[in-house]
Amino acid sequence: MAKKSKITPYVFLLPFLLLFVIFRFWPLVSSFLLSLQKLKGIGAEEFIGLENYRNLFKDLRFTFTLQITSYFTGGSLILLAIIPLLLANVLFLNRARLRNVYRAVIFLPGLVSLVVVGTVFRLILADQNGLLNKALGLLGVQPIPWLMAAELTVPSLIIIALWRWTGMNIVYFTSGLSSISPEVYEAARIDGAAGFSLFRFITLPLMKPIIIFVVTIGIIGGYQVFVEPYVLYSAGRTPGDSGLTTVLYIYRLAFRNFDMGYASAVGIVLALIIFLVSIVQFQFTGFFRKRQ
Amino acid sequence: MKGRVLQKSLFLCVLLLCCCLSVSFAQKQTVRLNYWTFMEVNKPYWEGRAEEYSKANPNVRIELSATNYPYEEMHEKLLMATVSGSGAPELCDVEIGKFGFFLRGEIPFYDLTDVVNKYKEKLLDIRLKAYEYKGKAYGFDYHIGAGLTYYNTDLFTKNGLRVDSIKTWDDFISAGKKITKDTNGDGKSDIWMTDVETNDLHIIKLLAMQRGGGVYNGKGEIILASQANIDAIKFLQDLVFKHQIARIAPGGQHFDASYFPWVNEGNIAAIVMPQWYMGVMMSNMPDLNGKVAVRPLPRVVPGGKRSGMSGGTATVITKSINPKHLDIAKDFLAFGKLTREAQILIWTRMGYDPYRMDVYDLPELKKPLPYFNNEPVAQMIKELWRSNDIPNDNMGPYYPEVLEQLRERIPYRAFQKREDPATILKDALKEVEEKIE
Amino acid sequence: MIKYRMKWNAVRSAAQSFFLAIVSFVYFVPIYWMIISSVKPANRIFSQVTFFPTRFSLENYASLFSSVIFYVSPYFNWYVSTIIMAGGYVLTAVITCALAGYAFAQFNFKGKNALFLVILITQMIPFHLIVIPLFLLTSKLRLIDTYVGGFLPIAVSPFGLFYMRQFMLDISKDLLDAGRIDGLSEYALFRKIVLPLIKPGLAAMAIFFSMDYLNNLLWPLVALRRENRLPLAVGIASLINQYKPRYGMVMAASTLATIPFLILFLLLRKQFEQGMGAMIKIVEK
Repeated sequence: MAKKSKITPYVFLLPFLLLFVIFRFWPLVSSFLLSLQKLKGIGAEEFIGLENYRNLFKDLRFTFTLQITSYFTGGSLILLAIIPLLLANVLFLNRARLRNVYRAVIFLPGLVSLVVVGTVFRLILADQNGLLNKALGLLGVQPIPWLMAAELTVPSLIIIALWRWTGMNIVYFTSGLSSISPEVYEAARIDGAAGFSLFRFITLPLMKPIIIFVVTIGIIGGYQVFVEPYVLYSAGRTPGDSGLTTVLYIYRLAFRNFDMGYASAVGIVLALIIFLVSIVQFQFTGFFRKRQ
Repeated sequence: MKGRVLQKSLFLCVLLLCCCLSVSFAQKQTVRLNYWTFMEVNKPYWEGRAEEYSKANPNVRIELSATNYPYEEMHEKLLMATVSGSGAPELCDVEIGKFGFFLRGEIPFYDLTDVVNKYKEKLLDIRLKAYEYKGKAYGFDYHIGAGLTYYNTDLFTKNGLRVDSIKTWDDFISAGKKITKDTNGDGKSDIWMTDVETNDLHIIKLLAMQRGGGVYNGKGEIILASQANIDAIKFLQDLVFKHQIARIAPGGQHFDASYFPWVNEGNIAAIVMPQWYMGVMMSNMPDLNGKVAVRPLPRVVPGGKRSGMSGGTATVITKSINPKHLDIAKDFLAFGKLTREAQILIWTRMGYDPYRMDVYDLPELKKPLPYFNNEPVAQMIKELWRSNDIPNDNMGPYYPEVLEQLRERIPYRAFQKREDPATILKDALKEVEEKIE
Repeated sequence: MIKYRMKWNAVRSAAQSFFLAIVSFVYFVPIYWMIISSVKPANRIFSQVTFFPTRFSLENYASLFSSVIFYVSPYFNWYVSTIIMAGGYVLTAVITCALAGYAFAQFNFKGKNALFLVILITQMIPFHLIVIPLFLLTSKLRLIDTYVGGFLPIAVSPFGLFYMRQFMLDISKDLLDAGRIDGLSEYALFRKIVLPLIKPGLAAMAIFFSMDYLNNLLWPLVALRRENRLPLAVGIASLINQYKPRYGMVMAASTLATIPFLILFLLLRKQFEQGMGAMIKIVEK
C-alpha cells in the first residue's frame, strides 16, 4: 500500500492558504492598524491610537448612517422574510399549476447584476416618465418623486431589494418546506388542524432554522449595502444624503476625503455591529437553545 | 587609383551618415499626455491647443488623450490613482472644492511656481492663490467665475417688463411676482422667476459674498456661520416660501438631465449662476438662442456689490509624468492657460471669463454674442471688475470641507426642510471644526 | 359537505393561481421593460409605454458598438474585461477551493480544525472592512489597473472552501485507497477520481462565483483605472452617471449584460437547483 505522503495535504492547501494569508488575513490585520492611524495625505501616516474611535462616538454623521442602514435592513428584512415565505407556501404546498414557471420568473431578478438592477430601476422610478409612476397614473395616483424626496430614498431601496431577493428566499424556503415530511401534516390534520393553524403550529416551527438562516444573510447583506444606492443615484448622491449607508460613508471617507484611517475605524465598528446584531438575533430566535 | 575611389566613397558614406543622424536628431519628439476633466467643453479645447502647440513648436509633438468623467467620479479616480501610484493622468483638471484634499501630506502634483511667475503680474492674484500651498503654486485657474444672472428676455417682454429695470433685489421680487404664474390652472405655478438648488451651492455662495460673507475671510478665518451667510440663506428662503417666486430646481441641481429641458422650454425667468454657466446654456438650451440677457446680480443695498465668485478649476501636472517631459508639459500648460493668447481663447472657445485683465480691451472680447441677446458680455464683466464689484473668494486649508457642507448639507436643509439658517450654519460649522486638528 | 369542500378548494386554488400570476407578472415587468426599451428608438423609451412597442429599432445596439469605434464608450472592451476577470475569478476560486477542500476533507494534519475555524470566521467579515487595506496592498504589488488585480485579490472564498469540503467528505475512503493500491500518485488520484465525482459541485460553484463577480462593484471600482479595463458593472454604472445619459444605450448595455445569464440559467436550471439544494442542506447542519 502506497503511503500517503505527509506533504500532500500541505501542497493541496498551499494555493488557497497563500491567497488567504496575503489577501484576507493580512488586510484584516492591516485594517486594525490603519484604524489607529491618521492618513493626512499620501505617505503621511501618523499613529494616533484610539483617537479615531473617540471621534467616531461623537460623529453625528456616523450615527445617521447607522440609522439609515438599520432602517433599510429592518424594512427589507421584514418584507423579505414574510413575502417569500407566503409565496413559497402557496407555490409548494398547494401544488399550483405552472408553479415552476412562476418560481423561475420570480427568481430571474436574482440573476440580474446589481448594477443593472440599479440602472434599470433608476429609470423605472424616474419622476415624470418613470414606468412605476406611469403605471400608478393608470390607477389615478399622482406621480411620486421616488428618487427626489428624502423620505422615499430608503423605501425605493427596499423596493429594489424586495424585487431582487424574493426569488432567492423562495428557493431557500421551498427547500425547507420540502424537508418537512408529509406525515407530520397528516398527523396534524387528523388531529383537526387546518389551514392557518397548520401553518402556524407545524410549518413555522419546523422552518425555524431556514428562517434564521435567511434573516442572518439578510442582516449581513443589508448592513453592507453599497451598490444599490451608488447606482440608483449618481455616485450615491441622494437628496439630503438620505441614502448614505454606512459602507457608502466609508467609501466617501476613504476615496473622497482621503481619511483612510478614520474610514477603517468606521469599518471595524460596523463589522462589530453586524456581528452583535447577528448574535442578538440568534439569541432572540432561540438558536442557541437546545432543539426540541 | 583604386585607393582614391575608396577614400572618396568612404567619405561620402560618412557624410551621408552624418546627414541621416542629424536629420533624426532634428526630428520631432513626441510627448504623449493623458488628460482628465469633468467639464465637457474643456476636452476639445485642450485637444485643439495640443495641435496648435505642435504646429508652433517644430521640435515637439504633443499627443493628447482627453477623457471627460462626471465631477465626483473624476476626483475619486484621481485620488485613488495618486494614492496607488498607478493610472493617474499626466494632466488633470482639479476643481477648487477638491483641490485642498490633495495638499495634505505628500503632494502628488508638480510645483509650477516657475511657470506662474512668468505671467503672474498680469493675472488676478486671487485665482492663483487658491492653488498655492506654502508659497508654491501647484496649479492655476481658467477663469474668475464671476456671479451673474441669466434672464430669459422672452418672459420679460411678455409681461411688459425690462430686464434693465432690475437694479436691486426688491426690483427682482416685484418683477418676480408678475412673472411667476400658474398657466394651466392647476393651482400651482408653472412659470417661475428663479430657482434654488438643493444639491449645490452657487446661489447661496454668490448671495452670501455679495453681503460680505463666504467661506473664508481675508484673515484666514472660516466665516461659514457669519451673519452675512445667515442673511443670504434667509433671503433665499423668503424667495421660495414667502414671496413664492422661486422653486427648487427640477432634479435639484443646475446640471441635472431633467433641468435642461425645463429651462429650455422657458419655465424660468432668471438663473443665478457663475459666469462659466454660459457655455453650459449654449450647449444644452438651444431654444433660448438669442433670448438670454446676462446681467450682474441685483444689489442688496444701493451701492452694494453686484457679484461674487464661485467655482474654479486648476489644471495640474501629476507626478506620474515622465520627468523628461516635465518642462514641455509646463510650457504646454502655460500655452493653454496663462499666455495672452490663451486667455483670449479661454473666452472665445470655452466661454469662461479670463483673469488676465488687459485682455478685456481686445476686439475679441468686445464682440457681441448672438446667443446672449447679442451683447458683448465680456465688457460687462470688465465693468464689474473695474468697479470693484467682485469680492474675493478667499482660500484656506479647510475650504473643501466647508464647500462640502455648502453643497451637500446646507441647501437641502434650507430649502427642502425649511430649517432655521442660523442653526443649519452652526451645525455645518461644527462638522467642519471636527475635522480641524 | 364534500362537494362544498371541493368547490372551496377549487376556488381557493384558482385564487392562488391568479395571485401567483399577478405577482410573477409584476416581477417580470422590469426585465421585460429593459429588453423592450433596448430595441426601441431611444427617444421613445419614456414617451411610449405600451406592451408591444410599435416601432422597433436596433439603433441603441448600433450606437453601443459604434461608440466603440469612436471611443465614446468602450462597451466591447468592458465585455471582454468582464469575461477575462470573471473567468480568472472563477478559475482561481474553484481551483484553490477544490484543492484545499480535498485536503481538509480527506487528510489529517496538525492544526487542521483550528485552521478551518479561523478561515471560516473570516468568511463572516464584511468586505468593506478590508477593501481599503486591500487597495493599498494591491497598489504596492503594482497590480492596480491590471486584469490580475481586478480579480485575484478577491478570489479567496472561505465559503467555497466550506462547500467543497462538504462535497468531498462524502467521497468514500475505500475508493481512494483502492486507487492508491493501484499505484496512483496523490495528484493523479485527485485528478482522475475525485474531480469527476464532484462535477456538480464544481459547476454550482462556477455559477455562484460568476454571479458573485458580476455583482461586485466596489472592488473593480477601486482597483481599475483605464476605461477599457473596466468590467461591465463599473462601465454601466459610469454610463448612466454622465450628464447626458443616453438611456437607449444604457438599456441596450444592460440587456446585453443580462441575457447571457438568463439563458444560462434557463438551460442549467436543474444543476443550479441541485447545487442550491446541497448548499442549503449544509447550512441546516
